[in-house]
Amino acid sequence: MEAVAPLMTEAVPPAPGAARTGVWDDASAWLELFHELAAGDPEKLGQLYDLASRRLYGLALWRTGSRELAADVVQEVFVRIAERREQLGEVRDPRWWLLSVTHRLAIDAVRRALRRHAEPLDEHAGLAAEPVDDGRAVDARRSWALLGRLSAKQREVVYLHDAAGMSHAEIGRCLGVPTFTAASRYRLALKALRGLLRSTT
Amino acid sequence: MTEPHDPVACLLSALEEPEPPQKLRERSLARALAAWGRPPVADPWSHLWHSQPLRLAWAATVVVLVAANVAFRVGPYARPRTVAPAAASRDQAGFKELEAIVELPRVRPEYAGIDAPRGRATRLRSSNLTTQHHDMEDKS
Repeated sequence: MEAVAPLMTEAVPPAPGAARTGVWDDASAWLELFHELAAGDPEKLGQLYDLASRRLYGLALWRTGSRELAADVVQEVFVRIAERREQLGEVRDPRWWLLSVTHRLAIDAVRRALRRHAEPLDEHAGLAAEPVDDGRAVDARRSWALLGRLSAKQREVVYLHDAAGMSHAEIGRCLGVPTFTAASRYRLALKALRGLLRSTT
Repeated sequence: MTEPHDPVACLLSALEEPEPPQKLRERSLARALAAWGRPPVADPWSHLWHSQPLRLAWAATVVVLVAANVAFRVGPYARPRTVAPAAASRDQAGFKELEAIVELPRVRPEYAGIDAPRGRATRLRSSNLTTQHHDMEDKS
């Protein structure tokens, strides 16, 4: 359990979907922010970063499995925002637009880095396995290792569902797949996780 | 008796969004502001829509495709219709025998489906029998 302690102290108190703050769910605030960016106000980039960076970075990290690539993806998203600033006013829902762009850029980053050695997922901080009861605490490092053995698509869906607190319909919208596909990926991911947990215990 | 423990649920309940690196904010905003100074990149679809040569090329392609489709279907370049081997063998001897063998019973009027309303099959069969009877009488 020594390995768990640092991770747990580093992490923000976990609560599934806790990041779904009122700001994230307020579509009108996002639209207003995008309209201000489209009007040519670069000062709003900082505000946008503060609102979106955590979710975008998390999605990129879980998709790519690499902190370095995830950071590149987030930077690339902001470059894309600056380059396409004139079209930001036409975006219907900035939240899904940002997540879709991040998703696509993360896929591109993984493709580009295929020949490079990606940092294994189990070295990342950011996942805390809080003991639900003393006798049955899940080892955070072991959990990381297990999650790292899922496919990137499954890991991404698990992240969006359980860490970002999104519904299957929202995940489907973000990833550009039908709701059923998102739900199916999630179900398969849980099945795979159960199998992995059984095989390691 | 304790409640069954689900390690997957325990694991998933502990998931949270990771914190981005401290310097990422500076780097992202610096790159975004650098890109902000450059002329904005046009969306390829809007470029296609607003560019007159591209619109003309698009329209010309559609016209050519429609014309080719019409010409190859009904025009002088239309290919002759191919005849399936089974249809071609209609004129050959023995086709009637083959037709009698492969004829599906359910398409005959005197057969009704098993889910047909009671009485329909009987009516159909009786009318058929009556017809056959009249035929026999006529022949006699």
